Amino acid sequence: MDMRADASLDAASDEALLARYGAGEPAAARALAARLVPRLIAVAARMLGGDRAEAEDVAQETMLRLWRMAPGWQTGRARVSTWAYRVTVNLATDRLRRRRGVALDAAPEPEDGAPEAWERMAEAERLRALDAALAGLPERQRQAVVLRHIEGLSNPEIAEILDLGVEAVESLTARGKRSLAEALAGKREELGYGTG
Amino acid sequence: MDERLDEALNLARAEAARPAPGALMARIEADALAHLPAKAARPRRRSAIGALLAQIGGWPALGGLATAGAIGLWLGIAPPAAVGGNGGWLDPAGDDIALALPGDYFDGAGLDGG
Repeated sequence: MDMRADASLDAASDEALLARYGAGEPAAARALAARLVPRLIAVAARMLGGDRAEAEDVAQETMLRLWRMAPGWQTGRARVSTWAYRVTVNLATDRLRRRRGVALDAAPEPEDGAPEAWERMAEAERLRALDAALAGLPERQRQAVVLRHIEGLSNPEIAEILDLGVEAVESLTARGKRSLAEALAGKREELGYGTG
Repeated sequence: MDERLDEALNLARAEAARPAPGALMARIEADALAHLPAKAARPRRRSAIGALLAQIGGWPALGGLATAGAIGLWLGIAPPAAVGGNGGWLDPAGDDIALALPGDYFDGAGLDGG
């Protein structure tokens, strides 16, 4: 692929890239995947208790459905990213429901060691604590909080993804964030702040 | 209380910014190739010569036309005996074409009423 083609792909919208893939251009699919997949993994991982391997499966399945949709995609119907987030949230929720009862918090305990290693483990532990707190939220709150506070999406876009009203999303994110903060407050030790 | 949440959320955002693993991207690209729609057929632009060719029946018709022209030219330059010269039945020199019927051809039985 030459640099001019690269620039043309970089400048294209998600919808234009999907249309170009639908017209038989494989490079457009590569560019679209590079944009979407990291974000889909992030959402799925937080929904699935930090399980990145399963989150990657969810992202791959989402993109597979997108490739199949491409020839019939109607421009202007929905944003590609909104559609992809919705599919990812639904797939992750389905997996979560299927494995309900299985402990989410299955990562090994951190070991004491050198300060550098401890720092790394502390960050991992903080993420684990966040995942555990997210897992304790009601399903809709968890979805809304992840999309709002980790993905940084707007409330109207979240409303479209979750098929809810904007006010309902505002309420879910506010309650969810408050619950998360309270849950994390009870995990002071795990977060590495000590008891003082 | 919110500081901890903010820090945890920042960590999650940093993790979200990590590029996807190469092996996963390769699998996704393979999926995309496996489902790649066929390129849409584009209408071909036709030149004036192409349009003329299409009118007379394309290249095969043009081949026939060229062959006929060449034969005509050859007949003009080197006509065979059956076409040119005094013995020809189509003599451009101007001899009349006569039917060589026997003189008593019309005197046969039945033709004169006898």
